[in-house]
Amino acid sequence: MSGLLSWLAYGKTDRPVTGLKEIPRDERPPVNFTFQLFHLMVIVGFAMIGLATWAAFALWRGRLEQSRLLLWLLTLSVLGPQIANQAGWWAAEVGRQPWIVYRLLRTSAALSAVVTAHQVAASMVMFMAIYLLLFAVFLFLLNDKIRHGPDDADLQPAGKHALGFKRGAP
Amino acid sequence: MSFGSLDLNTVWFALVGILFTGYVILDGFDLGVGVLHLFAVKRDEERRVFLNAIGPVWDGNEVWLVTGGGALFAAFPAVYATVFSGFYLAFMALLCALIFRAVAIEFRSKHPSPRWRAFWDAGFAGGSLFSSLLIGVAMGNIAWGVPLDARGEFAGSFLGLLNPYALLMGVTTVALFAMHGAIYLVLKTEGELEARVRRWVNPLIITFILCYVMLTLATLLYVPHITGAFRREPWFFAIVIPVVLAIANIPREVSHGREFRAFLSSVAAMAGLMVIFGIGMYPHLVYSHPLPEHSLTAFNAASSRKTLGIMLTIALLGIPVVLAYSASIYWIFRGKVKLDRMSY
Repeated sequence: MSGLLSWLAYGKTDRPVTGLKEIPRDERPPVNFTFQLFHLMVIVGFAMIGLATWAAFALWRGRLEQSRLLLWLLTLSVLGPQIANQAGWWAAEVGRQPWIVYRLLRTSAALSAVVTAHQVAASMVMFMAIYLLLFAVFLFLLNDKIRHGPDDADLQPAGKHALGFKRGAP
Repeated sequence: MSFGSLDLNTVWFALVGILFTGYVILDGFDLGVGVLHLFAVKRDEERRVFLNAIGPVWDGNEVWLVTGGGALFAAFPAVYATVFSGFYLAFMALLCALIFRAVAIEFRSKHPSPRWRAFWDAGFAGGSLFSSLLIGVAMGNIAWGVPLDARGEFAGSFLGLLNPYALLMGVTTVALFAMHGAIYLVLKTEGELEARVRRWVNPLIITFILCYVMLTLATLLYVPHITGAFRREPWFFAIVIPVVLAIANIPREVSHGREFRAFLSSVAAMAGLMVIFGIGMYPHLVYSHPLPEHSLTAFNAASSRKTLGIMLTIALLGIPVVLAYSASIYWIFRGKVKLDRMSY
Protein backbone atom coordinates (compact mmCIF):
# COMPACT_ATOMS: atom_id res chain seq x y z
CA MET A 1 0.00 0.00 0.00
CA SER A 2 1.58 3.24 -1.07
CA GLY A 3 2.53 5.59 1.76
CA LEU A 4 1.72 3.14 4.58
CA LEU A 5 5.32 2.31 5.53
CA SER A 6 6.20 6.01 5.46
CA TRP A 7 3.27 6.67 7.80
CA LEU A 8 4.35 3.84 10.11
CA ALA A 9 7.93 5.07 10.30
CA TYR A 10 7.44 8.85 10.34
CA GLY A 11 3.72 9.49 10.96
CA LYS A 12 3.36 11.09 7.48
CA THR A 13 2.43 9.44 4.20
CA ASP A 14 4.81 11.33 1.92
CA ARG A 15 8.27 10.76 3.44
CA PRO A 16 10.76 8.60 1.53
CA VAL A 17 11.64 5.36 3.34
CA THR A 18 15.31 4.48 2.97
CA GLY A 19 15.78 1.01 1.48
CA LEU A 20 18.37 -1.39 2.81
CA LYS A 21 20.29 -1.23 -0.47
CA GLU A 22 21.00 2.45 0.07
CA ILE A 23 22.85 1.67 3.28
CA PRO A 24 26.51 0.73 2.79
CA ARG A 25 27.14 -2.99 3.10
CA ASP A 26 29.40 -2.59 6.14
CA GLU A 27 26.71 -0.66 8.00
CA ARG A 28 23.99 -3.30 7.64
CA PRO A 29 22.92 -5.48 10.55
CA PRO A 30 22.47 -9.27 10.15
CA VAL A 31 19.10 -8.73 8.49
CA ASN A 32 17.72 -12.27 8.30
CA PHE A 33 18.47 -13.07 11.95
CA THR A 34 16.90 -9.80 13.15
CA PHE A 35 13.86 -10.41 10.95
CA GLN A 36 13.29 -13.95 12.29
CA LEU A 37 13.59 -12.77 15.90
CA PHE A 38 11.11 -9.99 15.20
CA HIS A 39 8.75 -12.55 13.62
CA LEU A 40 9.07 -14.80 16.66
CA MET A 41 8.12 -11.89 18.94
CA VAL A 42 5.08 -10.98 16.82
CA ILE A 43 3.95 -14.62 16.44
CA VAL A 44 4.13 -15.23 20.20
CA GLY A 45 2.25 -11.99 20.84
CA PHE A 46 -0.61 -12.86 18.46
CA ALA A 47 -0.66 -16.46 19.76
CA MET A 48 -1.18 -15.09 23.29
CA ILE A 49 -4.03 -12.87 22.06
CA GLY A 50 -5.56 -15.85 20.23
CA LEU A 51 -5.23 -18.12 23.24
CA ALA A 52 -6.75 -15.52 25.55
CA THR A 53 -9.68 -15.05 23.14
CA TRP A 54 -10.22 -18.81 22.92
CA ALA A 55 -10.09 -19.14 26.71
CA ALA A 56 -12.45 -16.18 27.22
CA PHE A 57 -14.90 -17.71 24.76
CA ALA A 58 -14.66 -21.11 26.53
CA LEU A 59 -15.18 -19.43 29.89
CA TRP A 60 -18.25 -17.62 28.54
CA ARG A 61 -19.67 -20.94 27.31
CA GLY A 62 -18.81 -22.60 30.64
CA ARG A 63 -16.40 -25.04 28.99
CA LEU A 64 -13.07 -23.64 30.18
CA GLU A 65 -12.14 -26.68 32.24
CA GLN A 66 -13.28 -29.30 29.75
CA SER A 67 -10.51 -29.06 27.15
CA ARG A 68 -7.21 -30.58 28.31
CA LEU A 69 -5.51 -29.08 25.27
CA LEU A 70 -6.61 -25.55 26.16
CA LEU A 71 -5.57 -25.97 29.80
CA TRP A 72 -2.16 -27.28 28.78
CA LEU A 73 -1.68 -24.40 26.34
CA LEU A 74 -2.64 -21.93 29.08
CA THR A 75 -0.12 -23.55 31.42
CA LEU A 76 2.66 -23.34 28.83
CA SER A 77 1.67 -19.77 27.94
CA VAL A 78 3.42 -18.67 31.16
CA LEU A 79 6.60 -18.79 29.07
CA GLY A 80 5.11 -16.78 26.17
CA PRO A 81 5.84 -13.26 27.44
CA GLN A 82 9.35 -14.34 28.46
CA ILE A 83 10.08 -15.68 24.98
CA ALA A 84 8.57 -12.62 23.27
CA ASN A 85 10.53 -10.30 25.56
CA GLN A 86 13.82 -12.03 24.91
CA ALA A 87 13.23 -12.25 21.14
CA GLY A 88 12.33 -8.56 21.02
CA TRP A 89 15.41 -7.64 23.04
CA TRP A 90 17.63 -9.70 20.74
CA ALA A 91 15.99 -8.15 17.66
CA ALA A 92 16.72 -4.65 19.00
CA GLU A 93 20.30 -5.43 20.04
CA VAL A 94 21.26 -7.37 16.90
CA GLY A 95 19.31 -5.02 14.65
CA ARG A 96 21.24 -1.92 15.73
CA GLN A 97 24.60 -3.43 14.82
CA PRO A 98 27.23 -2.44 13.80
CA TRP A 99 26.41 0.72 15.79
CA ILE A 100 26.38 1.05 19.56
CA VAL A 101 25.46 4.74 19.20
CA TYR A 102 23.79 5.20 15.83
CA ARG A 103 26.16 6.84 13.32
CA LEU A 104 28.42 8.08 16.12
CA LEU A 105 30.17 5.03 17.56
CA ARG A 106 30.68 1.54 16.19
CA THR A 107 30.45 -1.40 18.57
CA SER A 108 33.94 -2.46 17.53
CA ALA A 109 35.29 0.97 18.56
CA ALA A 110 33.44 1.00 21.87
CA LEU A 111 35.20 -2.00 23.43
CA SER A 112 36.89 -1.47 26.77
CA ALA A 113 40.61 -1.08 26.30
CA VAL A 114 41.70 -3.33 29.14
CA VAL A 115 38.92 -5.91 29.60
CA THR A 116 40.07 -9.17 28.01
CA ALA A 117 37.93 -11.74 26.19
CA HIS A 118 38.59 -14.18 29.04
CA GLN A 119 37.15 -11.77 31.58
CA VAL A 120 34.05 -11.21 29.47
CA ALA A 121 33.66 -14.99 29.05
CA ALA A 122 34.03 -15.50 32.80
CA SER A 123 31.34 -12.90 33.56
CA MET A 124 29.00 -14.46 30.98
CA VAL A 125 29.47 -17.90 32.56
CA MET A 126 28.76 -16.33 35.95
CA PHE A 127 25.55 -14.68 34.75
CA MET A 128 24.41 -17.84 32.98
CA ALA A 129 24.97 -19.88 36.14
CA ILE A 130 23.05 -17.33 38.23
CA TYR A 131 20.16 -17.13 35.79
CA LEU A 132 19.93 -20.92 35.40
CA LEU A 133 19.80 -21.25 39.19
CA LEU A 134 17.15 -18.53 39.43
CA PHE A 135 15.16 -20.12 36.59
CA ALA A 136 15.23 -23.48 38.39
CA VAL A 137 14.11 -21.77 41.62
CA PHE A 138 11.35 -19.98 39.70
CA LEU A 139 10.06 -23.24 38.18
CA PHE A 140 10.21 -24.99 41.57
CA LEU A 141 8.25 -22.22 43.31
CA LEU A 142 5.76 -21.89 40.47
CA ASN A 143 5.10 -25.63 40.50
CA ASP A 144 4.83 -25.56 44.30
CA LYS A 145 2.34 -22.70 44.16
CA ILE A 146 0.23 -24.38 41.45
CA ARG A 147 0.15 -27.72 43.31
CA HIS A 148 -0.83 -26.25 46.66
CA GLY A 149 -3.20 -23.57 45.41
CA PRO A 150 -3.83 -20.39 47.37
CA ASP A 151 -4.13 -20.46 51.18
CA ASP A 152 -7.61 -19.82 52.54
CA ALA A 153 -6.34 -16.59 54.05
CA ASP A 154 -5.12 -15.42 50.64
CA LEU A 155 -8.69 -15.60 49.34
CA GLN A 156 -9.86 -12.95 51.82
CA PRO A 157 -9.52 -9.36 50.70
CA ALA A 158 -6.48 -8.14 52.59
CA GLY A 159 -7.25 -4.39 52.62
CA LYS A 160 -5.12 -2.25 54.88
CA HIS A 161 -3.29 -5.30 56.11
CA ALA A 162 -1.74 -5.97 52.72
CA LEU A 163 -0.53 -2.43 52.29
CA GLY A 164 1.70 -2.81 55.34
CA PHE A 165 0.16 -0.02 57.40
CA LYS A 166 -0.08 -2.28 60.43
CA ARG A 167 3.58 -3.17 60.31
CA GLY A 168 4.54 0.47 60.49
CA ALA A 169 2.23 1.42 63.36
CA PRO A 170 4.18 2.42 66.46
CA MET B 1 19.98 26.94 33.59
CA SER B 2 23.28 28.78 33.31
CA PHE B 3 25.52 28.66 36.33
CA GLY B 4 27.74 31.70 35.66
CA SER B 5 31.28 31.20 36.81
CA LEU B 6 30.42 28.36 39.20
CA ASP B 7 33.11 25.64 39.22
CA LEU B 8 30.86 22.84 37.95
CA ASN B 9 33.68 20.28 38.03
CA THR B 10 34.10 20.73 41.77
CA VAL B 11 30.32 20.80 42.25
CA TRP B 12 30.04 17.42 40.48
CA PHE B 13 33.02 16.03 42.41
CA ALA B 14 31.04 16.89 45.56
CA LEU B 15 27.72 15.60 44.17
CA VAL B 16 29.20 12.23 43.16
CA GLY B 17 30.68 12.11 46.66
CA ILE B 18 27.28 12.92 48.19
CA LEU B 19 25.62 10.13 46.17
CA PHE B 20 28.17 7.53 47.29
CA THR B 21 27.93 8.88 50.87
CA GLY B 22 24.14 8.42 50.73
CA TYR B 23 24.75 4.91 49.46
CA VAL B 24 27.14 3.84 52.25
CA ILE B 25 24.93 5.41 54.94
CA LEU B 26 21.70 3.82 53.66
CA ASP B 27 22.81 0.51 52.16
CA GLY B 28 25.47 0.36 54.90
CA PHE B 29 22.94 -0.49 57.57
CA ASP B 30 21.08 -3.09 55.52
CA LEU B 31 24.35 -4.74 54.42
CA GLY B 32 25.33 -4.64 58.11
CA VAL B 33 22.08 -6.37 59.06
CA GLY B 34 23.01 -9.04 56.49
CA VAL B 35 26.46 -9.46 58.04
CA LEU B 36 24.79 -10.00 61.45
CA HIS B 37 22.04 -12.27 60.04
CA LEU B 38 23.67 -15.58 60.98
CA PHE B 39 24.16 -14.49 64.62
CA ALA B 40 20.41 -14.65 65.33
CA VAL B 41 19.80 -17.32 67.98
CA LYS B 42 16.16 -18.32 67.49
CA ARG B 43 16.84 -18.88 63.87
CA ASP B 44 13.71 -18.59 61.86
CA GLU B 45 11.69 -16.02 63.78
CA GLU B 46 14.58 -13.69 64.56
CA ARG B 47 15.93 -13.85 61.04
CA ARG B 48 12.50 -12.96 59.74
CA VAL B 49 12.53 -9.92 62.04
CA PHE B 50 15.93 -8.92 60.60
CA LEU B 51 14.71 -9.32 57.01
CA ASN B 52 11.53 -7.37 57.67
CA ALA B 53 13.51 -4.63 59.43
CA ILE B 54 15.19 -3.81 56.11
CA GLY B 55 12.47 -5.26 53.83
CA PRO B 56 10.73 -2.03 52.81
CA VAL B 57 13.90 0.03 52.30
CA TRP B 58 16.92 -2.01 51.18
CA ASP B 59 16.16 -1.84 47.45
CA GLY B 60 15.59 1.91 47.57
CA ASN B 61 18.92 2.22 49.37
CA GLU B 62 20.71 0.35 46.60
CA VAL B 63 19.37 2.80 44.05
CA TRP B 64 21.91 5.29 45.46
CA LEU B 65 24.71 3.05 44.13
CA VAL B 66 23.08 2.99 40.70
CA THR B 67 22.61 6.77 40.78
CA GLY B 68 26.21 7.27 41.90
CA GLY B 69 27.43 5.07 39.04
CA GLY B 70 25.14 6.91 36.61
CA ALA B 71 26.38 10.32 37.78
CA LEU B 72 29.97 9.13 37.41
CA PHE B 73 29.19 7.92 33.87
CA ALA B 74 27.68 11.23 32.80
CA ALA B 75 29.88 13.69 34.71
CA PHE B 76 33.26 11.91 34.58
CA PRO B 77 33.05 9.37 31.73
CA ALA B 78 36.82 8.75 31.67
CA VAL B 79 36.70 7.75 35.33
CA TYR B 80 33.73 5.47 34.75
CA ALA B 81 35.50 3.79 31.82
CA THR B 82 38.76 3.30 33.71
CA VAL B 83 37.23 2.07 36.95
CA PHE B 84 34.58 -0.21 35.49
CA SER B 85 37.05 -1.74 33.02
CA GLY B 86 39.96 -1.93 35.44
CA PHE B 87 37.88 -3.37 38.29
CA TYR B 88 35.89 -5.59 35.90
CA LEU B 89 36.26 -8.93 37.69
CA ALA B 90 35.98 -7.32 41.12
CA PHE B 91 32.75 -5.55 40.12
CA MET B 92 31.36 -8.76 38.62
CA ALA B 93 32.02 -10.45 41.98
CA LEU B 94 30.29 -7.50 43.72
CA LEU B 95 27.33 -7.81 41.36
CA CYS B 96 27.10 -11.55 42.04
CA ALA B 97 27.11 -10.89 45.81
CA LEU B 98 24.47 -8.14 45.52
CA ILE B 99 22.25 -10.34 43.33
CA PHE B 100 22.44 -13.23 45.81
CA ARG B 101 21.54 -11.15 48.82
CA ALA B 102 18.69 -9.50 46.93
CA VAL B 103 17.04 -12.68 45.69
CA ALA B 104 17.65 -14.38 49.06
CA ILE B 105 15.47 -11.76 50.75
CA GLU B 106 12.65 -12.47 48.31
CA PHE B 107 12.96 -16.26 48.02
CA ARG B 108 13.62 -17.23 51.65
CA SER B 109 10.03 -16.81 52.82
CA LYS B 110 8.46 -18.52 49.82
CA HIS B 111 8.98 -22.07 51.10
CA PRO B 112 8.95 -23.39 54.69
CA SER B 113 11.58 -26.17 54.51
CA PRO B 114 14.52 -25.58 56.91
CA ARG B 115 17.10 -26.50 54.26
CA TRP B 116 15.58 -24.04 51.79
CA ARG B 117 15.71 -21.29 54.40
CA ALA B 118 19.26 -22.21 55.48
CA PHE B 119 20.42 -21.94 51.85
CA TRP B 120 18.97 -18.44 51.39
CA ASP B 121 20.18 -17.40 54.87
CA ALA B 122 23.70 -18.28 53.74
CA GLY B 123 23.15 -16.42 50.47
CA PHE B 124 21.88 -13.32 52.24
CA ALA B 125 24.61 -13.23 54.91
CA GLY B 126 27.42 -14.28 52.55
CA GLY B 127 26.29 -11.85 49.87
CA SER B 128 26.06 -8.99 52.36
CA LEU B 129 29.47 -9.73 53.91
CA PHE B 130 31.15 -10.08 50.53
CA SER B 131 29.49 -6.93 49.12
CA SER B 132 30.61 -4.86 52.13
CA LEU B 133 34.15 -6.21 51.87
CA LEU B 134 34.37 -5.53 48.12
CA ILE B 135 32.97 -2.00 48.44
CA GLY B 136 35.67 -1.31 51.04
CA VAL B 137 38.39 -2.91 48.90
CA ALA B 138 37.32 -0.76 45.93
CA MET B 139 37.47 2.40 48.08
CA GLY B 140 40.83 1.28 49.45
CA ASN B 141 42.23 1.00 45.93
CA ILE B 142 40.88 4.42 44.98
CA ALA B 143 42.59 5.89 48.08
CA TRP B 144 45.87 3.99 47.63
CA GLY B 145 45.97 4.63 43.89
CA VAL B 146 45.99 2.20 40.99
CA PRO B 147 48.47 1.96 38.11
CA LEU B 148 47.25 4.00 35.12
CA ASP B 149 48.91 4.37 31.73
CA ALA B 150 49.33 7.58 29.75
CA ARG B 151 45.78 7.30 28.33
CA GLY B 152 44.38 6.94 31.86
CA GLU B 153 43.61 3.24 31.35
CA PHE B 154 44.03 0.75 34.18
CA ALA B 155 47.43 -0.96 33.88
CA GLY B 156 47.30 -3.23 36.93
CA SER B 157 46.01 -6.73 37.58
CA PHE B 158 43.09 -8.23 39.50
CA LEU B 159 45.38 -9.65 42.20
CA GLY B 160 47.05 -6.25 42.54
CA LEU B 161 43.69 -4.90 43.74
CA LEU B 162 43.90 -7.24 46.74
CA ASN B 163 46.76 -5.31 48.36
CA PRO B 164 47.02 -5.10 52.18
CA TYR B 165 45.85 -1.47 52.42
CA ALA B 166 42.74 -2.15 50.32
CA LEU B 167 41.96 -5.30 52.30
CA LEU B 168 42.30 -3.35 55.56
CA MET B 169 39.83 -0.79 54.19
CA GLY B 170 37.55 -3.72 53.25
CA VAL B 171 37.63 -5.17 56.78
CA THR B 172 37.09 -1.68 58.27
CA THR B 173 34.06 -1.23 56.01
CA VAL B 174 32.58 -4.56 57.14
CA ALA B 175 33.06 -3.51 60.80
CA LEU B 176 31.53 -0.09 60.13
CA PHE B 177 28.48 -1.54 58.32
CA ALA B 178 27.99 -4.19 61.04
CA MET B 179 28.09 -1.49 63.72
CA HIS B 180 25.68 0.72 61.76
CA GLY B 181 23.38 -2.27 61.09
CA ALA B 182 23.35 -3.34 64.75
CA ILE B 183 22.23 0.15 65.83
CA TYR B 184 19.49 0.05 63.20
CA LEU B 185 18.37 -3.35 64.50
CA VAL B 186 18.12 -1.99 68.06
CA LEU B 187 15.66 0.52 66.62
CA LYS B 188 13.59 -2.14 64.87
CA THR B 189 13.52 -5.02 67.41
CA GLU B 190 11.91 -5.47 70.80
CA GLY B 191 12.02 -7.68 73.90
CA GLU B 192 14.63 -10.40 74.27
CA LEU B 193 15.98 -9.94 70.75
CA GLU B 194 16.42 -6.20 71.29
CA ALA B 195 18.36 -6.87 74.51
CA ARG B 196 20.69 -9.24 72.66
CA VAL B 197 21.21 -6.92 69.68
CA ARG B 198 21.91 -4.07 72.11
CA ARG B 199 24.80 -6.10 73.56
CA TRP B 200 26.34 -6.41 70.07
CA VAL B 201 26.69 -2.66 69.62
CA ASN B 202 29.67 -1.89 71.88
CA PRO B 203 31.94 -4.75 70.70
CA LEU B 204 31.19 -3.71 67.11
CA ILE B 205 32.03 -0.06 67.85
CA ILE B 206 35.33 -1.16 69.43
CA THR B 207 36.12 -3.44 66.47
CA PHE B 208 35.42 -0.60 64.07
CA ILE B 209 37.54 1.88 66.04
CA LEU B 210 40.49 -0.55 66.17
CA CYS B 211 40.25 -1.10 62.40
CA TYR B 212 39.90 2.61 61.76
CA VAL B 213 42.93 3.49 63.90
CA MET B 214 45.03 0.95 62.00
CA LEU B 215 43.71 2.26 58.69
CA THR B 216 44.47 5.86 59.68
CA LEU B 217 48.01 4.95 60.75
CA ALA B 218 48.54 3.13 57.45
CA THR B 219 47.19 6.16 55.59
CA LEU B 220 49.46 8.58 57.47
CA LEU B 221 52.50 6.37 56.88
CA TYR B 222 52.00 5.12 53.33
CA VAL B 223 49.45 7.31 51.49
CA PRO B 224 50.95 10.82 51.56
CA HIS B 225 48.72 12.18 48.76
CA ILE B 226 45.60 11.64 50.93
CA THR B 227 47.13 13.43 53.91
CA GLY B 228 48.59 16.21 51.73
CA ALA B 229 45.48 18.38 51.86
CA PHE B 230 45.48 18.18 55.66
CA ARG B 231 49.15 19.11 55.91
CA ARG B 232 48.66 22.08 53.58
CA GLU B 233 45.50 23.29 55.34
CA PRO B 234 45.73 22.12 58.95
CA TRP B 235 42.32 23.59 59.81
CA PHE B 236 40.80 20.69 57.78
CA PHE B 237 41.65 18.60 60.84
CA ALA B 238 38.67 20.29 62.51
CA ILE B 239 36.40 17.89 60.60
CA VAL B 240 38.01 14.96 62.43
CA ILE B 241 36.80 16.26 65.82
CA PRO B 242 33.01 15.99 65.17
CA VAL B 243 33.55 12.55 63.62
CA VAL B 244 35.31 11.30 66.75
CA LEU B 245 32.63 12.89 68.94
CA ALA B 246 29.85 11.34 66.84
CA ILE B 247 31.38 7.85 67.19
CA ALA B 248 31.94 8.36 70.95
CA ASN B 249 28.33 9.51 71.28
CA ILE B 250 26.91 6.20 69.95
CA PRO B 251 27.48 4.03 73.09
CA ARG B 252 26.30 6.92 75.29
CA GLU B 253 22.97 7.22 73.45
CA VAL B 254 22.49 3.42 73.33
CA SER B 255 23.03 3.10 77.09
CA HIS B 256 20.48 5.88 77.66
CA GLY B 257 17.97 4.06 75.48
CA ARG B 258 17.97 6.76 72.81
CA GLU B 259 18.48 4.46 69.82
CA PHE B 260 17.33 6.92 67.22
CA ARG B 261 19.91 9.47 68.31
CA ALA B 262 22.53 6.71 68.35
CA PHE B 263 21.60 5.91 64.76
CA LEU B 264 21.81 9.59 63.77
CA SER B 265 25.27 9.74 65.39
CA SER B 266 26.33 6.75 63.32
CA VAL B 267 24.97 8.46 60.19
CA ALA B 268 26.86 11.66 61.05
CA ALA B 269 30.08 9.70 61.68
CA MET B 270 29.83 7.97 58.30
CA ALA B 271 29.11 11.25 56.51
CA GLY B 272 32.13 12.79 58.25
CA LEU B 273 34.38 9.89 57.26
CA MET B 274 33.31 10.35 53.63
CA VAL B 275 34.00 14.11 53.82
CA ILE B 276 37.51 13.36 55.12
CA PHE B 277 37.96 10.89 52.26
CA GLY B 278 36.71 13.45 49.72
CA ILE B 279 38.97 16.24 51.02
CA GLY B 280 41.92 13.85 50.92
CA MET B 281 41.18 12.80 47.34
CA TYR B 282 40.27 16.18 45.79
CA PRO B 283 40.71 16.88 42.90
CA HIS B 284 41.65 13.26 42.08
CA LEU B 285 38.93 10.78 41.23
CA VAL B 286 41.37 8.00 40.39
CA TYR B 287 44.85 8.53 41.77
CA SER B 288 47.56 6.98 39.60
CA HIS B 289 50.17 5.11 41.57
CA PRO B 290 53.11 4.97 40.89
CA LEU B 291 52.84 7.65 38.13
CA PRO B 292 50.71 10.46 39.64
CA GLU B 293 50.85 12.54 36.44
CA HIS B 294 48.46 10.01 34.82
CA SER B 295 45.79 10.55 37.50
CA LEU B 296 42.18 11.24 36.53
CA THR B 297 40.83 14.39 38.15
CA ALA B 298 37.56 16.31 38.30
CA PHE B 299 39.02 18.48 35.53
CA ASN B 300 40.81 16.20 33.04
CA ALA B 301 38.17 13.44 33.17
CA ALA B 302 34.98 15.54 33.10
CA SER B 303 32.27 15.96 30.49
CA SER B 304 31.77 19.34 28.82
CA ARG B 305 30.64 22.31 30.89
CA LYS B 306 27.33 22.21 29.01
CA THR B 307 26.72 18.59 30.06
CA LEU B 308 27.63 19.31 33.67
CA GLY B 309 25.26 22.31 33.67
CA ILE B 310 22.33 20.31 32.25
CA MET B 311 22.98 17.56 34.76
CA LEU B 312 23.09 20.02 37.65
CA THR B 313 19.70 21.41 36.60
CA ILE B 314 18.26 17.88 36.54
CA ALA B 315 19.87 17.09 39.90
CA LEU B 316 18.42 20.22 41.50
CA LEU B 317 14.95 19.23 40.26
CA GLY B 318 15.35 15.57 41.25
CA ILE B 319 16.89 15.85 44.71
CA PRO B 320 13.77 17.25 46.47
CA VAL B 321 11.68 14.42 44.98
CA VAL B 322 14.16 11.76 46.15
CA LEU B 323 14.36 13.26 49.64
CA ALA B 324 10.56 13.45 49.85
CA TYR B 325 9.87 9.84 48.84
CA SER B 326 12.74 8.51 50.98
CA ALA B 327 11.48 10.39 54.02
CA SER B 328 7.90 9.19 53.47
CA ILE B 329 8.97 5.52 53.13
CA TYR B 330 10.98 5.65 56.35
CA TRP B 331 8.07 7.42 58.07
CA ILE B 332 5.49 4.84 56.91
CA PHE B 333 7.64 1.93 58.06
CA ARG B 334 8.86 3.55 61.30
CA GLY B 335 8.81 1.68 64.64
CA LYS B 336 9.38 -1.91 65.68
CA VAL B 337 8.96 -4.82 63.25
CA LYS B 338 5.76 -6.84 63.73
CA LEU B 339 5.67 -10.15 61.89
CA ASP B 340 2.45 -11.16 60.16
CA ARG B 341 1.62 -13.51 57.35
CA MET B 342 2.36 -10.91 54.69
CA SER B 343 5.92 -10.46 56.01
CA TYR B 344 9.04 -12.04 54.52
